[in-house]
This record gives sequence, structure tokens and C-alpha cells, in this order.
Amino acid sequence: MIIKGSSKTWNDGIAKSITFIVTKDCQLVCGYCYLIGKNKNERMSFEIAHKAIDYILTNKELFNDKAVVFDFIGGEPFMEIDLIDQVCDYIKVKMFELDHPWFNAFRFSFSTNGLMYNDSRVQNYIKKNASHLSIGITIDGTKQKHDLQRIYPSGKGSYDDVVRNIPLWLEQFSGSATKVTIGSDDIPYIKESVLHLYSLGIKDVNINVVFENVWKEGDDILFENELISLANTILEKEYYKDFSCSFFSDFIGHSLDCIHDNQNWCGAGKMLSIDAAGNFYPCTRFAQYSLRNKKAIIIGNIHDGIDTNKLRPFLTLDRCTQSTPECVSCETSSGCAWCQGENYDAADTPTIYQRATAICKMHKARVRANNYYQNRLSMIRSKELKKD
Amino acid sequence: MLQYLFVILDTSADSFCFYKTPTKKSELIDLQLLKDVIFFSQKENLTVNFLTGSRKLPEEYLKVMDTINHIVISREAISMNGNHIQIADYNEKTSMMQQRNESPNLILRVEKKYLPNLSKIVDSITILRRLSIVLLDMDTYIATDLDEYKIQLNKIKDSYLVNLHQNHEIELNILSDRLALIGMNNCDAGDKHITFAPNGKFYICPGFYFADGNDSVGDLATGLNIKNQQLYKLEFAPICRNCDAFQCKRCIYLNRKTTLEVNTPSHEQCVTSHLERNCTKDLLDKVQYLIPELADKEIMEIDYLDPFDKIC
Repeated sequence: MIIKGSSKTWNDGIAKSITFIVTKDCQLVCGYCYLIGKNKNERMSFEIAHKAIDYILTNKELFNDKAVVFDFIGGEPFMEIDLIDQVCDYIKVKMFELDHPWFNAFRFSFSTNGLMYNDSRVQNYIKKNASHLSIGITIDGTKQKHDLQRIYPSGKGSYDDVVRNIPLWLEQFSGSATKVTIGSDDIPYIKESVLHLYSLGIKDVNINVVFENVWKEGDDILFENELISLANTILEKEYYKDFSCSFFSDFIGHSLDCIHDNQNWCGAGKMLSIDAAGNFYPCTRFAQYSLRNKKAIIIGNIHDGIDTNKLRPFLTLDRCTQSTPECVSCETSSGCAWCQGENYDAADTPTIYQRATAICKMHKARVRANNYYQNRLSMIRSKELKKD
Repeated sequence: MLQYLFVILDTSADSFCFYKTPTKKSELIDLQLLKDVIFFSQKENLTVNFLTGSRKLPEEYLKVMDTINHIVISREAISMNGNHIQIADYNEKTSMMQQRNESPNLILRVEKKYLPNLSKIVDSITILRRLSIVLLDMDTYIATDLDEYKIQLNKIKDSYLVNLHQNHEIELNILSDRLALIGMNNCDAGDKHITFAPNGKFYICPGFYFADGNDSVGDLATGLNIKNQQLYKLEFAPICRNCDAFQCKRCIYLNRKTTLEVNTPSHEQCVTSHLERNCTKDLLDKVQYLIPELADKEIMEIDYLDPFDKIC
């Protein structure tokens, strides 16, 4: 059965992202997980989801985007598959009843650890919603790399339990991408992990370094060397023809100006997250279970609706206003990402207007490796053209 | 650059702005602390504004206050050398109170429930040089309140015109200030002024002290420590930096309260300021021929009341 591909580009930019935090529980205790407040108690009830959906679908002036992605996250969302099934049924019925414009422009989306992927309830759900579904399974690479971070509370790695579900996932979601997160300890495993994911049939590897301040002196040099080694293999084995790795891109590493390139990187505030208590957040990263140092930013709830004043800072936030002078004048700034939630959590005051710069050296290392890759790729392509 | 310092002399000092003061037992600032903060102000070249409550200040305090040029902001005029700005919270008796008051500079705080009376309130005050209206509860205004404010502003403008023709002109912050301004003239807390509280700590403004005593930005011993101070500057306020409602208070305290960011105003603050701006434009159109200084003045026609709508 072939279902749909990755959701990452589906109606990109015009679809509203609405995230249900269905549970704060997870089978794993990943080393790099930013969710510091995971627990077994905060599970969303159908009543809360029902009220949230009613609010969203009946307030068309607030939610006037052309399309919608209903995202289900946790913890691990598939731990609440029965609730999710019920919620999705209700969304579809309600949209039909209201003759809502989203009825023909919606998608359900999941990021899962993949452990329950072959569970019969999950499989039934997938079959039922096949035409409106995208699922991403997180697998970090080789068994060694994956099990370094993605572990059970006992300390046992989860690789074997995930990898057995990858063939079924790729059969159902051909062309799916996976998301890999890199912390300091993971740097030596980047190359073999990306190549391993290619060997599993995953053609697009979305990979990023964590935004938190975890980096040690010298990590940038190790990172650069690892990426250059990866670049060599991708070029020599001609993987660039069929595979991609998001560390390499021709749009990164350029200077940006504050007039034409001033948009915010992050979509916080344009999306909406709902937790088990029925509170609204500008993004899941602003819920309390994601924050180390700051209070949650709650922008409303299912009873009172959205406080649009609290969205104003998010929707007017631009790159230069939140960036340091060094970032503004940086000659390699394009592609240097940030997470608004991490910016907020790491800021000196309770503000989203202070950009965290913990990845500065890592970005510059990435740019150098990417320059190397792009220069070599360009030469290879021009030789190929001459041959043709 | 900091230019002004508000010194709260009494824990029950009256509010002169949008913030509310919780009922606190009156406690005066320690006399030595007062001397120290005056010394600090002298060194930093700051103009001092003293905020007081209903408690009569002892003579030794008045003497210390008189060691520096200052302004006193209080309900009652107190006997000393500084200039006085009087605060009043409007109620039905306020106009009577005005009759016995001689301060030429009044800050009148008006609760939402009195909004339909605003033009009458302004009409009743004719003995002043300057009147500053503070709309209390502005953060709770809904569309009908904003409509009412527009009505009241138009009535105030009409009366203002009549007074002008009779050569009786007062400065009115919500109407005439915009005539004279050529750039933003906002609250500027955290940028141009700072507040010193009786507990010996600095705050962004008195509102931050009364709302949360833990929200301080330094003390005399360690000095000022305003983190992310750039966010108090106009150029770091995306909604405000291109705005021409120059008379807007751009209240930092209300920004923080309503949008959680010191650099972002609420919808209600933007709309009230633009209603004032537009009313001033109408006034300008009518008085331009009378006042040579305004001959070249222009306030552009705009099609929005909230600059946020223009940006997003």
C-alpha cells in the first residue's frame, strides 16, 4: 500500500498548523529531549479536544488559512491512538457539518518514535485516514548512534524496536523523510548515521544540531570534519543524485540584510498548540513541560478563546530586532536557524526578542563544510554536463 | 540614555499613570536611602520626580528633597520648592476638588465607567495650563468602549476649538500634544527614565514595582542592571517604530501586562492612540489657518487604527 509522502512540503506556508499535545508520556527518555516535564498524568480527554475543535472550526475569521495540518504530538502520540482516532473522526464530521473550507484541505500529521507503528490500532487508523495522513518516524542513524540517545528508562536502546517498522513505514509512506537531532556526543556518528539511513531507503534526512547550549570547545571543528567526510562519500558514491541531507544546501551561508531578508525563522504564533488542560500556546515549545527556566506562555484557552494581544509579539517579530549586532552583520547568516521557544527559555529576561546564539560556531562549521560540498558538486555537475 | 528618575517616597504613593497601586501600609523610604539616591541622581545627572502618598512628609525629608532640583507628583501640593504635578482620580466630586486646586498641571485618571462623561469632565476643567488624561482599564476596553472614546474625543475637539477661538488654550495630552510633536514622545521607561522604590531597588517604572516587587533591575550598591535594555528603545519595537501617533504613551508597563513583551503594545493601546491622532488631524485641518506655527504641519490620512494590521 502506498500512501502519501512527507507532510513537510504539503501546503507549506499556507496551512495552519494545529497541534494537539495528546499526552506528555513517552516510552523513551531520550538524552537530548527538550521536554523536561514529561509525565503520565497529563493526557488529553476527548471533551477537551472536542471543545478545542469547536472553537477552531467556528472561528473562521481567526483561522482563515487555506489549509490545515492537525498535528498530534506527545510525548509519544501513538500511546493515545484511541483518542486520536476519535478526535480525527470528530474533526471530519464537524468540518463536513459546517461546510468548512478545510474539509478538502486538511491533513493529520505525526512525529513518532516508531515503537507502536505496527500496532493493529495504529495500522487501522492509518488505513482509515490514508488519504489525509503524513507520519514521520524518528530514527537517528546507526544502532550505536540511535541508542546513544534514544533509550528506554532501563537504559536499553530502542533501535531494534524501531528499525523493524521502517520497511512497513516506507511501504506506506514512500519518500518519507526522517528527522535526526545532533548533540555534542553524536558528532562522530553523523556520517555513518546518514549513510545508514540512506541504506534503509530513507532518501531525505532532515538533520539539525540542537539549539540548546550543549556545545563543547572544539565541537565545531569535529563537526566540520565529520561533514566534510560525509560530503566526500555522498559525492564519490553519487548519493546526491537520489538522496538528500539537510546539512547541505545551496541557500545557507550568505549574508542577509534587514530589509529584504528580515523575516522570522520560526513559525511560533502562526501555529497553535493545545494541551490536556485546554490551554493554547503559540507553539508546543512554550508549554511548561518544554521550558527549563521560564513560565509557560499561554495565549488563551478553549473556554475564553485566544487572547490576540499575546500573539502580537510573535506575529511582528523579525530577524534583526531579535538578533545580536554580531548576527545582524554576520556574513554567513542565511540558514542559521533558531527556535523561538529556546530563545525565550535561554533569554536574560522573559522575552522572545533575544536570539540564543549557542549554535553560532556550529553553523559556521556547517557553512564551511557546505561550501566545500557545493564547490565540489558544482565541478562534478559541470563535468557531467560536458560529458552529456 | 537615562534622563529622569522617579523616586517613590512612600509605599502607598498614588499612581500617576496606568498602573494601579495595591493598598499598602504607608511606609516612608529610609531617610539615608533618600539621601543616597539623590547623591546617585546628582552623579548620573538625572532629573528627579518624587512620588508621594497621602502621608505628610516629615520636615527632614522635605529638606533632603530640596537638595536637588525636582518635581513632585502627588494628590496634594506639598510645601517645598519643587514644581508640582497634581494627580487626581476622577469621580463625581473631582471637579469640585479642582476649584480649590492651584496646580497648573493636572494628571487626571479616568476609569472606564466614566468614559461617556469624558468630554464633560474635560469641559469642567478650565483653569489649567496642562491636562493629561490617563484612561484607566484601557487594557479591558472592547469595541464599544473604543467607539465611545472616539465620540468623546470629537466632543472634546469641538470644545477645544471654541476655547481656542476665545483665546483660552490648554495643553491636552490626548488632543493638542500631537500638534506640536515631530517625533515619538512616549513613556520611554527603561530607556529615558527609571524608578527607585522604598525597598532600595530600581524598577523599570512604578508599575513594575507595585505589580511585582521581585521585578527589580538593580540597586544602589550594585548599580543598574537592565537586561535587554535595547527592547525599551523605539527602534526595537516593530509595531511602533514606523508609527506616527507621536503622542501615544506606549506604556511599557501595559505592554508587558497585555502582550507579555515590553516592546509590543496591545491592540487597545494602538487604537486609542490612533483615535487621538486622527482627531488631532481633524483639529489641525480646522486651526491651521489660525496658527502660523502649524501652517506647514501635516498629519497624513491613514486607513488603519492599529499599525499591527499594516504590518501583518
